[in-house]
Amino acid sequence: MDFLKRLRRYPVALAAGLCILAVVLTALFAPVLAPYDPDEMDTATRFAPLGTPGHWLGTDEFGRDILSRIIYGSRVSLLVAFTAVAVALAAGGVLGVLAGFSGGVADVLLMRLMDLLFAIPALMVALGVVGLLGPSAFSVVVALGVAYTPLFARIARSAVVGVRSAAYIEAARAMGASPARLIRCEVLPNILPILLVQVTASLAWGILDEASLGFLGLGVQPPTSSWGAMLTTGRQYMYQAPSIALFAGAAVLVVVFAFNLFGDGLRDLLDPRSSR
Amino acid sequence: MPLLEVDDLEAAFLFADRTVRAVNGVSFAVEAGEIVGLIGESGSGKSVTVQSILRLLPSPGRIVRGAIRLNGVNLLDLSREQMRQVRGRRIAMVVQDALAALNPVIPIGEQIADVFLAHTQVKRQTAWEKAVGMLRRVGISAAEERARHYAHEFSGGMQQRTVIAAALACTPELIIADEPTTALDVTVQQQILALLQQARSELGSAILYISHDLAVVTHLCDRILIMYAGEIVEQGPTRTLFRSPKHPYTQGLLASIPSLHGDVQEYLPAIPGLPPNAAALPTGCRFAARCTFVQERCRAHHPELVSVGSHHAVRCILYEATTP
Repeated sequence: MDFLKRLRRYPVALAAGLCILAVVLTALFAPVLAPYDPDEMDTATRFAPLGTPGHWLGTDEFGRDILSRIIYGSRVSLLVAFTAVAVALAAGGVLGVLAGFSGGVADVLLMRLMDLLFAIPALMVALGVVGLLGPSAFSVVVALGVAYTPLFARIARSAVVGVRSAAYIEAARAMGASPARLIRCEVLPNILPILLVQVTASLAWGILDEASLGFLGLGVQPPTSSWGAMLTTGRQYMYQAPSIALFAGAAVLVVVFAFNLFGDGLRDLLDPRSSR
Repeated sequence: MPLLEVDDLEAAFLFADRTVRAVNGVSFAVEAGEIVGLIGESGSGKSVTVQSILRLLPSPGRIVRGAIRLNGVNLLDLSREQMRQVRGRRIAMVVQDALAALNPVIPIGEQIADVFLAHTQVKRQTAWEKAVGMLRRVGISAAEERARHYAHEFSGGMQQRTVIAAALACTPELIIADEPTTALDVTVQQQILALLQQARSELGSAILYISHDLAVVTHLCDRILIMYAGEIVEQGPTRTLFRSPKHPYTQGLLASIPSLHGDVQEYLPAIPGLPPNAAALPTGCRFAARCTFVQERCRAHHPELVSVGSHHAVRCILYEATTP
């Protein structure tokens, strides 16, 4: 409740948050909201233009309703992005906290490994993983999860190092807190806001990268609709039916933008020292 | 048997290129319910002594020799887990910088509750209620509401009260207070000292009070230990030490306290010079270089701590001759 009350003081973040909520609800209630079955073909109405009654955003090369496909596409985008970021947060968070808290050889080894992974662009890592596992939603989750892990590991580690030698950690140790308790009760609450902000930023990247992989044909396979795959087909029919690429692109843009704005607001909001 | 017995403690920092001998053969005891002041200037080894007692010496610090007994049990023999059980429950710590000692992102009450949770099998709700009770006990008004606040919303005095509340949480047998009033203004200082005295009388906790300021501890402590360059140079009951200080260093310290009685002094006498480098300690008396009564023998001979009265001992060549 306190959180929502404070969120009101950040109107941009609030708007972005509502936008994300709307997209999440759209994904959840896709069967109710979508006017048509997204995979239903109708050769009679191929490439229906924008504003056609019944197909307000038009139809694609198989006569499928674009609005319905975008609505269903949000499921793939969000599910893949959320799961991939959750995987990266769990793996990177654990590795980073361990490295930062233990220090010494473990720290050096873990972080150099992460640096190695970090040196390769995320999309390249993802391409490699998808190449190994074959294109599917599952491989995209694994691929992006692996690709984002070093980022979370680094952020978690530097945050832990920042608080590790703080006087209140020493004080808690002097009051008999065990290492596990120190991490859980003293370190985690301090680094959680930082990680949470990174989560929202990474969700934006996740949606963008999922679309990129989809665009390259490495994401979910047809006929399942995804925003990235719609951009690919939309590119081919750019002149006959610009609305395919246009609205898929707009969906990606809006969601990515919303996550970024929400992340910015969250960063200010979660700092108890911020007085706004 | 004394509550705490530090026996011939020697702690050093073993750097690659040099060894800093921070504490050299320190022995003292604290009886149950007693308030003992450990006085010394920066670098005299008082903080290292405390860190050794809690076995929390920062790397590369090592306890080279000696024993630290709590009710006869040598803490240096305990396992990590057993030692963890001692910290906070049997020996609690109050530090100088209370704001830094409190976690900035966790409400005050929860931090005190965490001490209960670390040492006792209580539910979170019970721990929270106990924490609020502790805050009330250390004189924080509207404790229930205040417990939900963060450290930066508290005044300096309230922050220190909170740290004391956390220290008193498990009714420790010994409270180590490391300069808890240094960062506070004088009126608040008195309140904190009164609070510590109250802790002794209500809970029966003994207090080891670390300070560089002899004036602050006079009314609080039963007994005083003066540390200089890693060793105790004089120890005795507070009254005795003030009436007849024996060691030239103690005399110098007392002379540098401004007096409210008698003539206004033009200037406060200061002890000239600096303490010796702990990485290269002199062979003779460690205070020799700054001592007004220094003799030739002082530079070669390292004096022993000798008794000069009941519970009064001093480490100075001037008094060594009187005992065989």
